[in-house]
Amino acid sequence: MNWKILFNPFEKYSEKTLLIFGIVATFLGSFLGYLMNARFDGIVDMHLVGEVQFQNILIDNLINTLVLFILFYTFGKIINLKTRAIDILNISMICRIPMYLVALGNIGGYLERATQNMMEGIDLDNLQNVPQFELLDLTVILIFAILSIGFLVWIIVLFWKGFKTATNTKGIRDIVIFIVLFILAEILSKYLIVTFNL
Amino acid sequence: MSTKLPVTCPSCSEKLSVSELTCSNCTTKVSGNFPLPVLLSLTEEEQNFVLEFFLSSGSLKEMAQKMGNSYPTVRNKLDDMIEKIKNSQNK
Repeated sequence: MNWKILFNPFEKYSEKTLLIFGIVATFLGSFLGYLMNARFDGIVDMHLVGEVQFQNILIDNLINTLVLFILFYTFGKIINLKTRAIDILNISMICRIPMYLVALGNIGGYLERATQNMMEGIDLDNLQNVPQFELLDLTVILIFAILSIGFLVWIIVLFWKGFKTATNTKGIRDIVIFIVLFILAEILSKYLIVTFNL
Repeated sequence: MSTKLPVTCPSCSEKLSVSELTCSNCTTKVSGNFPLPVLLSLTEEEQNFVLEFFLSSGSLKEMAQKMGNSYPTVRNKLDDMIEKIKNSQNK
């Protein structure tokens, strides 16, 4: 297993290969969301919803990609004038592949049912009552939550390694700005999707 | 066995200079104090990179294809070497 392909494909593959891969992944990921009833309402968000239109998921992913691209291309240009738009665009598309894989957690609709069962187990009128959860539902959600954290780490590592390759950045200051921008991208993408695409 | 040309002093780490050159044909020796070319401050791998870059007519795209790396990876390597040479010249 070549770990570099999983964590830093940007070091090895040409921009054309990555661009084609990124576009295909964005469409396939959106289709996967459609099959799994998942919306990607933020750069690191995946929520299961009852019914969903394919075009809404595609717009979610386009907004997420564009927000990442605009913020990090601007930052990249400030760090290094040689930063190319295509490299940041490729990173913005490819780093979100793990997010699409998270949607696979709802194969067969079990995760959605388990979440609904848990919500029904909570007495909203009287929150002091001990919630009634099925052990299996709880286990499924717990495993999904742990895997989701792993995938989130994967996204951040992919994005950082790609950004580092695209801009040749070095130093702690840029890491701090990177983290702040990543959080800002999450807030901005969430706001845009909630405002214009719900 | 290929030997490596030392460029820094093993004792104090200062830059070395050439004090003697020998003709391999007639063994005539020339003495003096000649500074080493700045490119020698690069590692052997980096020197090979510079040579390949020259042979590729300065095309980073061609270099990337030859090396099996992406364009920004090769560009970063070149930028790091430029920085290293600039620092070496400023010393």
